[in-house]
Amino acid sequence: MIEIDNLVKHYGPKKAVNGISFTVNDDEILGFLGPNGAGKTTTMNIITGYLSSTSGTVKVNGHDILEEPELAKKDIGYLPEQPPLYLDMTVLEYLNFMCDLKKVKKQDRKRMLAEIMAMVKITDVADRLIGNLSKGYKQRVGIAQALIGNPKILILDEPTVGLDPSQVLEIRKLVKSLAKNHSVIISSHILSEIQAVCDRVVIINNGKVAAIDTISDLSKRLSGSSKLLMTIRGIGKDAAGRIGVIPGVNEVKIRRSDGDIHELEISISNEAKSDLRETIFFTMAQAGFPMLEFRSCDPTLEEVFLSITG
Amino acid sequence: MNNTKNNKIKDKRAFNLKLLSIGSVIILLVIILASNILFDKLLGKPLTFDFSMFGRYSITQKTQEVIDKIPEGTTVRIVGLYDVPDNLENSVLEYTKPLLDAYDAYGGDRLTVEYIDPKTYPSIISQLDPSGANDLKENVYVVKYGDNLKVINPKKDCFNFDSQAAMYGYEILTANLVEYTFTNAVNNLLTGFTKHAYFITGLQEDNSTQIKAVLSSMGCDSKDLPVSDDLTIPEDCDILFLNGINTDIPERLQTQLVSYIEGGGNVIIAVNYYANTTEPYEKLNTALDKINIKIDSYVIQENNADYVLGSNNFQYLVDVADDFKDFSSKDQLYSGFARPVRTTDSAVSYVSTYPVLTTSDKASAVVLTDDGQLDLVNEGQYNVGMFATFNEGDVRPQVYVFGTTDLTSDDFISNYSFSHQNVEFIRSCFRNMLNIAAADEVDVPAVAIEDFSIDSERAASSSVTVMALIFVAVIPLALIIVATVVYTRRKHL
Amino acid sequence: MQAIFKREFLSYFRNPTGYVAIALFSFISGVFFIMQVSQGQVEIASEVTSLRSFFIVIVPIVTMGLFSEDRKRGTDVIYYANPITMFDVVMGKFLAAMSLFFIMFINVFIHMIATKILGGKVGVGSWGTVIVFFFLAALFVAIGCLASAITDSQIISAIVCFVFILIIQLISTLSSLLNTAVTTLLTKMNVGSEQASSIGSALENGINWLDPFTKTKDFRYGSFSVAPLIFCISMAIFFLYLTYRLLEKKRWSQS
Repeated sequence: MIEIDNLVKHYGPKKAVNGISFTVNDDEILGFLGPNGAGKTTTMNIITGYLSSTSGTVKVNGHDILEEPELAKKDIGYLPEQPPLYLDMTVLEYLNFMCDLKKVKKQDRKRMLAEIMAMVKITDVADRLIGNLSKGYKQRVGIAQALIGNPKILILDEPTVGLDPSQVLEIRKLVKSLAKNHSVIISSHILSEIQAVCDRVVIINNGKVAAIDTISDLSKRLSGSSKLLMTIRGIGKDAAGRIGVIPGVNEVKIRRSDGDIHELEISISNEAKSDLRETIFFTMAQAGFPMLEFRSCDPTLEEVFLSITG
Repeated sequence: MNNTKNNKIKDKRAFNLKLLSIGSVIILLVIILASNILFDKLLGKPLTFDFSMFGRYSITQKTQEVIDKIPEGTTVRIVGLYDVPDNLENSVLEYTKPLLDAYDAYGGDRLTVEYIDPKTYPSIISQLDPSGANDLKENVYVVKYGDNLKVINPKKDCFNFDSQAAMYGYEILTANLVEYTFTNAVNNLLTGFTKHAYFITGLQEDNSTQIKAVLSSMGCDSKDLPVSDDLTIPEDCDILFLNGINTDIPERLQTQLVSYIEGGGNVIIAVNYYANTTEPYEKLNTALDKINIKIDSYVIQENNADYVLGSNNFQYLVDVADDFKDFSSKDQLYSGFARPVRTTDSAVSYVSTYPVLTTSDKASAVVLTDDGQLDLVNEGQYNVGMFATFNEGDVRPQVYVFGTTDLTSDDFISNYSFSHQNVEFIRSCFRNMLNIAAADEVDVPAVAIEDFSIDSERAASSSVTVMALIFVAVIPLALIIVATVVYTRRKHL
Repeated sequence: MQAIFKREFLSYFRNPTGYVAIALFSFISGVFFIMQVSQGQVEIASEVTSLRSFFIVIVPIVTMGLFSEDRKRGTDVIYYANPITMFDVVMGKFLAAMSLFFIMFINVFIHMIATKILGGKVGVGSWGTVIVFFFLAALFVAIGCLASAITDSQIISAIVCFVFILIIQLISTLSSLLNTAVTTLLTKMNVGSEQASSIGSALENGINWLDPFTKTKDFRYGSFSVAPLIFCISMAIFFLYLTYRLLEKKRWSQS
């Protein structure tokens, strides 16, 4: 568990991080979302003890990163944006070195390395030089080094950046499987990724937390209204007019028209007490406009993100 | 701008860390410098250990005693009239400087060692030698006590050299006399000289620097007495030296010598055969006739292989006669190109003569004839040195006559240095003549020079070439090849 | 510390660097040794003393990549984000470089044995120079560490280290130049010439006090002193501490 309280980091006059607070619970995947330059990497560097904060505290399982760095760092596995790999070492040499660093006991080492390498699927490149590996493999070696010593918390900074789609999927699967017994903080500017793997998301912008919530709650809370999409055959304006007068409907827009087929977007106020879909269906049936498609549509994370950071 | 300032003030943690960082670096630097300066001053010298071969950077007990003798409140100054070069390597100062540092360390206020370059401090010359009598120049040491001073040449006075090598332009040190020279200089300045030796000059080519150094360690100073028509042997003469003469003495000296001996004087005569093989020394022999001694104009050839030194029959060991056994720790001395010294036929009754150094009974005297041939004279035992004194009356002159120069010449002493049995022997002769106890002497041993030469036979063998090849070529090349192999193999992993 | 030491030390042998440094040292020391053999006199002390002038080349080769390469490749994160202190990192790397020097020095030990076989002598002064060699190496490697920590370019760190060692090697020359300059200046300012030169030489002596070569020169003659060794080691500690502080600075630096 990580408790981050009012973290501030200045670079000269620039405030890279300006009062960030959040908590990472055990065994959850926390998405860390923000545009480039929002302060994601800086925050992660502070959490891992790489940088010291200007003010604020980071507590890793109760240990302050500045006051008890060794105890705090013990529980963290960190994969920076650029994996810290020695290109002149083989994978096995490198991982053994990381074992030395994290003081993994000799008798556990072989088993642990075998497990980790199998988990991240690098067993077949164990004796190859890291410098000769593909980007995807390098990334996996980076994840492997973060896993060494079995830390309770994994911090992954943009783990899928620069990978091809199938590699991205594999890494995501891996991260999800890790969540069973790790807390994971994963940063990304790719929203679909966060959406795909995370339980909760922290959105930061300009060094500040813009939102923290579960993904579904966040989208609901944020939009303040839900939307319905409908396709009918008939007179668009007439249909819009008929729906617009239904109580609880805020606004009706014709998004697209193709001959007599129209796509309508209906904004429904949250205050509506009943499900308006039935009422709309019957209104259209009455008017004799056949419904070709009718569905409700929650805002995507993209939209949430844009509206928050926009 | 204002904003920037505010932010910086707010960033207390970074400010504190910066302060800690810079502050601790400065504090550490100060602590390190201060403790090093302190350590250097307080414990630098006590915590210096002389592990050198022969302890050549430590002063001996004898020197410490001499320094202890310096009266409280007075100071002996040792001043080197030059800048100490940074690199002492390959200069004799490599031996001198560290040892003088040891003098300085032991001496405290009583004895100081300074280095003052007269080029930057011209006044030092007149300060040390107000009268200008010593004609001080750069690059010498001056030992000064009260108004008296002694000039020491850092090279000639402080080291023995191999004279043979010097002829070929090499400079091979054979002994380190730094402590010997300086301690004697200090001692001589402290006590003054009580004895005086006079060296007759003008009858030989060689100097007597080395033997004079031996005398000075016994509190006896040495003066030259050039031969001339009005030569007079001074009243205060304790030893008269005719060292390494190769020319007969003039008439004036002959009469002076006789009266000096008859007055109870001490004389040492050493003739040089090598420089003048045919000189009969008629006048000298006339004088010596008064004490029943004659120097023959032969040269002794040793035929007993046990005595011969090296491959040359003219250089050999001589036995020390029984009466003089306690003069030297060894029973045999070195001798070379010696004339026989024998008793005369016209024995004077009040004179007793004793052989001092004798050859084996298989030696023969040889004459070098005019056409360069060797003419064997007689086989038997010959004397290389003899001693004469009077056996009645009040006066007891002591006269040593040596047919060889191997006991007194600069060449010999320089090659073999002061610890050699020949020097030990002549020292005993002086001691008897000057009537001094061994304890009064400042007998600082000469220090041998470290010898790093390798076995020339092994060094010349072909295995050295192989070794050279291995060290210079094989090892470095092998490493480069390994580097290439490792690099290319790892590159393709 | 052990982990860092092990990685760094082995890294010398995973790359050509270590081999090249040892090969260079072997060649130079071999030439010195053979030259002495050919002259019939072998004094190991003189060989080791001459070898010290090659610190200026070998130390930068050995130390240039120690910290700069980590910074360049981003691998320094490993040291900041793992449960080890920066002190461990600095000491580990320093000791790795020192160990490489120890391996190089095996050459000289072989030469000592060869000298014995050739009937020569390995005097106490030779051992003195060996002791001095390692203490000076510690000082210069510490300087090399510092030079490597200030930049992320190996070349720049090598040049900085080279210049630093060059200055130390020239301390006595520089100080005497300064002496002359100050003396001339003061004389021109109407200070008495003897007074001027005493100020000048006081300055010279003060600077010369910092010269580790002058301090340790008596070792080769068999006169061993503790103070110069303490000087070397404490200055090495200072430079290592400076390196440590420089690396720590990255945590809180504002730029």
